[in-house]
Amino acid sequence: MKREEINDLAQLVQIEKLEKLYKKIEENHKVKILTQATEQTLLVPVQDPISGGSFYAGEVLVTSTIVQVEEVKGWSMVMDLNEEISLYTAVLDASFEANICKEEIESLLIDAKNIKEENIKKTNRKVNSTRVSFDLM
Amino acid sequence: MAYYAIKGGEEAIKNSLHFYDEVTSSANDIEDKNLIEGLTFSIDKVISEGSLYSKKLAAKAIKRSAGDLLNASFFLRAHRSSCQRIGIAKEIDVNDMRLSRRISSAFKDIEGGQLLGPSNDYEIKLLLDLKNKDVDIEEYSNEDNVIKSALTPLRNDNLIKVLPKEDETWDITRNYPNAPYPRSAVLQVMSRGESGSLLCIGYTTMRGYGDIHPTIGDLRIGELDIKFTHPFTKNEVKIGSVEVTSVECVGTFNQDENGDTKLTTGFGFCFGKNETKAISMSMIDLSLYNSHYSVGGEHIVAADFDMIMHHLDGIESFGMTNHFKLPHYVTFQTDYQIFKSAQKYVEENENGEGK
Repeated sequence: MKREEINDLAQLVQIEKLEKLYKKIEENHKVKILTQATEQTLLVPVQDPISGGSFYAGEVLVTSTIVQVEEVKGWSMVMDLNEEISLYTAVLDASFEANICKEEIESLLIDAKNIKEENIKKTNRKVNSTRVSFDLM
Repeated sequence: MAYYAIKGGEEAIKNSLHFYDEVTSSANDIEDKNLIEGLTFSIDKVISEGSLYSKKLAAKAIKRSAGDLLNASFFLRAHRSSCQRIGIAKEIDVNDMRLSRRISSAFKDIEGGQLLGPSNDYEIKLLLDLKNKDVDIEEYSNEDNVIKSALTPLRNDNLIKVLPKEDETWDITRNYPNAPYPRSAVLQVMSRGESGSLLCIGYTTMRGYGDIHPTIGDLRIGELDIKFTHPFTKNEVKIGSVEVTSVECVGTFNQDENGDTKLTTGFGFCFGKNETKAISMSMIDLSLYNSHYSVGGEHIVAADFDMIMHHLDGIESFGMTNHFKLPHYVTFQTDYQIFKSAQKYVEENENGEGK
């Protein structure tokens, strides 16, 4: 697993599980919050198929946090207003890089990823069941 | 017009807000989750017109405004302006969309097929308790639907009219342009515009004031990933995904600036599942840049850049309309005094007193 996957996958994990792992890390290591979980926005550019240029469709609300676990800095930017998830994700980001609870983090995220993929497959079946077959009359 | 500062009514305002809270307090009993999942189209309208993708805040805003969606969008827009903008996400391309719905009325057989997705287009619109039969979906494929636009083959064959590419993308939230308006600003205005306003102007094109009958080349609803740069690794990171709607409508074959005959198209895009809005936007886009086929006379609203740039924003038009409720004593009293003075002058002259 790459460090860059943590930000997305951590948002799929049940918050209770994230909190449990966060507390375990916090109890055994020095965790410092450098930037509190903060609401911010990201401007979203969309490709215009007619000109090949782009335009801004609007902004996405995100919550960002920067932490330090031992000597390693961690960051998160999660969708919507989610201060706790942002904090826990930033701690996982730093811990992963610092080789702290790395296997546990990987296991938690891979489980969440598998559940998400199963759900996507179920949704895909529903979507594919609505594919239209035309017969000329 | 003169403006005078006045004060007063504090107690009435306080009591009015309390009364409003009391009348609408039942909305607080609705769980955010139920609103987000159950009234999903209301949420999507608010995030699109509020121009802020936050389903949580949209739910809160809908409850706060007791279901007045324009008012809810106002809450969201105001919240947006209070947040720090951290940066610009990676550009998204509708061809990368994981589709949940995809319609093309221009083609019968297209790569990937047509997907109705979750829709009640074909439901009889009678408020009867009609139960849909259970369906067995196990036999269907579980594969993603990431399909290129139905217009891609025509684009590859150089059959579609291309508009000039801008060097820089305009952001109307930072700097509102003057005419001639950059295309990126025009599209941004429409993307965050009010659905009813877009529909109204889009409908004028169908009635002859624009390109009379566009066809839906590719309507798609689905998810796109939002990506940003990790500040420490400098690599790309997925932040999450957004539900969006995009429409490419096709007009007629038309001569471009080089004299080549090309197919004209219009593009519509917005946050959330808002297909009527996206269709309307694509029709207006088509009319703005290709107004040749109008039969509705010289003044075509849907092809008038000034009209489009200044009349589609729901928050602005809502605010301007509602500001008339505020005290306008000076404005009205001035008119009234002028009228009374004129009336007196006429009476005096009629009686010969003014001579």
